[in-house]
Amino acid sequence: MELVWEYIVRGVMGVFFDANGAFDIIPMAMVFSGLMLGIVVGATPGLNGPFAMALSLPILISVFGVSNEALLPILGFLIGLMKGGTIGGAVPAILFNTPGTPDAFLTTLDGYPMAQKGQGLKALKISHFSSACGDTFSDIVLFLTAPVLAVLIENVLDLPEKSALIILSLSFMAAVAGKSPIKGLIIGILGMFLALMGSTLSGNGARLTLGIDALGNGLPLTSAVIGVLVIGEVFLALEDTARDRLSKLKAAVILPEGDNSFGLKDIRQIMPRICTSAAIGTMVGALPGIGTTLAATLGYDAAKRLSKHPEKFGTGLPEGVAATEAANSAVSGANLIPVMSLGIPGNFAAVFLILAVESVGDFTLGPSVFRFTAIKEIADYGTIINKDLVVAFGIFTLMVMGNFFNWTVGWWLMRSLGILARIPKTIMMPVVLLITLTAVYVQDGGFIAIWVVLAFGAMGYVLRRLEISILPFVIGFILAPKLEELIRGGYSASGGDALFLLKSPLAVFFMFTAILIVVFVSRQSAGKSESRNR
Amino acid sequence: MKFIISIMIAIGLMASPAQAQWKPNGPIKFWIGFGAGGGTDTQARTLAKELEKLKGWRIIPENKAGGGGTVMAAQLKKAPADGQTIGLAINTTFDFATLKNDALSIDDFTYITMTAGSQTGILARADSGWKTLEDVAAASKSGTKIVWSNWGALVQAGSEVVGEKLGIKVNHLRMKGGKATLNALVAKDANLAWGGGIQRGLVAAGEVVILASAEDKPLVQAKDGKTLKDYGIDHYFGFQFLLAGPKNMNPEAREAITKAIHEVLSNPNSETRKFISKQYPSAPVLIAGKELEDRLMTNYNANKALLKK
Repeated sequence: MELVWEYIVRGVMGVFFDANGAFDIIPMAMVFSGLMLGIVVGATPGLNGPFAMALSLPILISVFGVSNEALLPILGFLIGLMKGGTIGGAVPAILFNTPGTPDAFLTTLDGYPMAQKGQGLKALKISHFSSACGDTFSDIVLFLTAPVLAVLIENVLDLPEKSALIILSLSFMAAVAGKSPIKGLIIGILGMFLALMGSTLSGNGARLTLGIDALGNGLPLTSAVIGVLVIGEVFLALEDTARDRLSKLKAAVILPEGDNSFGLKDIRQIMPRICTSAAIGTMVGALPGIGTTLAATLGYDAAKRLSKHPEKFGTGLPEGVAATEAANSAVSGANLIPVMSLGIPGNFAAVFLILAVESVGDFTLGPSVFRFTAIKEIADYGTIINKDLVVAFGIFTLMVMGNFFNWTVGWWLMRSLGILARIPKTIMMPVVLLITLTAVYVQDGGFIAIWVVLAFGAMGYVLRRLEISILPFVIGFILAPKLEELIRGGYSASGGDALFLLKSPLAVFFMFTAILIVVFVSRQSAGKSESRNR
Repeated sequence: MKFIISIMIAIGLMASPAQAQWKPNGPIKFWIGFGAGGGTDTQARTLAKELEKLKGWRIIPENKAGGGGTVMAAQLKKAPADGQTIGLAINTTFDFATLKNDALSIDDFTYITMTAGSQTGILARADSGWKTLEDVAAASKSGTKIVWSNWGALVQAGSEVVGEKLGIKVNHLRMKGGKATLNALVAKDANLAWGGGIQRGLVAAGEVVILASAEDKPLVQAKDGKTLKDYGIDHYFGFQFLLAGPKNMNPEAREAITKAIHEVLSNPNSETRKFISKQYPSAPVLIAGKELEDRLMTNYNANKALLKK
């Protein structure tokens, strides 16, 4: 226990002090500015947390470099963005009936009626309080479960089981992320296929590079992911704006002033809803592939069901706002459970944290991080320590700091953001496009990055138009190399047994569940569309 | 006569600085054959900074990871040979990987200088109780499944050779890079692993033990340990860090860069030297010129013979 404590202390110290023991304000400042920017971004319709994370990552890398010291400031900023994004979304949802982020859609149901009654400020206070509660709860769950889960996994799972577990999470993601599990599966496999490009472990040279040497290490990861996520969205928005050039943004309504007090009585009223929603959001966050939007839906639904007066939901009920916001904010935090314990990203925010870790320093996420190596000082040699574990606790510290800033100053920013809902897309999208192209050019080594980002952008556009979720595509693309390494390893470590995946009961169970999930969910969705057609 | 001598001295003076004072015509691209944050990366970036300071050149380091340095090498091969594009990888990128890669040949490059040598050895977890390769052989014979993690085809061939010699039935586990190879051992995915120097901390902490050295002498952390040569295996599986340029590189540039690097690495106050002495003990390896070319060719032929076996 003493050892655990020692690691925690070193992790915390690593955030506040640099290698020479001098006080270092940068990581803290980065969390703060990330959180502030995240709230602003969340409050801007058309932008969201992961979007901003995508744009910032290459810029952060060009500012801080790729050394190990750069990791905490960069992650601090990204974590701030991740947290801020879900909070800010509520602002325009409440004030203008326009959700700033998709997961704030349900906030409009009760938030906007409250604003119409003159309680806009109160709704904002409720939403901030609930968000902060949900987020804090989720972080605490992460701190407690990730290390335990990681140690468990590292001790129980061997190569075949680890491979099977990745296959299971991919199929789960394909099944739940979009409307059609089969489409999700196909697109996930396409993502995995594109990841085959580049060098293999065989040492026989690069494969599938179309003769382009610069693709020898595969498609540049960050450019590809940013392409699908950001550029695809930009293309879509540009098309939409071209189409509805004539439609004007809603004129701002001047809202009446009502009772905007928020005290203990209110907290007592909404607290039960916050608790259920925080638990739901945390659970959803821990599972790969289900996003914040579903968490918000489930949280709102549960609040309605548990309420004594469900018919009042949608008329401006504080519980409604609290339930949605606590649920969607509780996702960030818990979404790092699969990342920290397995190295599997479950949503876009997690994807960008993984990308940051892969591009900067030699820290790797995954179960091997939580190894409590005895700390020893050896003369003329240095300290023996598991540095990765110290970094992991440093990351936890950054998250706690994010929560602290959110509780203390998040509110002040939130109440002054109403204006952002009115930035037209015709201005914002070209700016986003310009920043993206410049940023990937700098990070991923020149023009090859530009071509990749545009090609993947076109792909992202097509997928969105076909209403296929892009999450399985991105996660498939990111996890394929890891899966290949595990399968190759499992095969050769078994002495070349082609059936190695089916020799361990646990692996068979994972594989079977993977198939079952897809079959079950596609039947369900087929049933739904049938009943719709009737 | 005096006049002639002084003219000759003057010519000599004019000629030699001209040769030593090769000046890049713009920034030097310094490509790194491995990913960010690792040993090669740290070494290259520190070296680049000190070279800039020493010579006033502008040097831009860039990671081009993949395929054990070959992804960088494939691009270096096609870069202009003016001395303004150079790349740091390891010797096996050039004297081994080229044997298996149709797109690359050992003759495609100009070799500038080595900078450091590895501490390659065979490792086991301390809790396995194994102290020597004989212990592993005994365990294998009594039915323990041996899974040996490695980072590339050359060391994997090494596992084969060792296994054959000592009667160990080996199952290979290929990982991406030295750190992942060691992690596989610690995570119990493997019970033997190759280590190139990254094992330093874990060995000092007593979590991992060195069973044998694959260098020409025992490893620094196991001074009394055996080498593979003691087991009758006449092949080194260690590696050296190696700086190269494209084929037919400007000889003046080659000389100027070699001299500058040697000057940095010979300075006891140099950060790069300190890093190398700690990470790849005991000191930098400054082999260049003809000696370097001969050494790579010898390795190349030995590796060719090894692959044929």
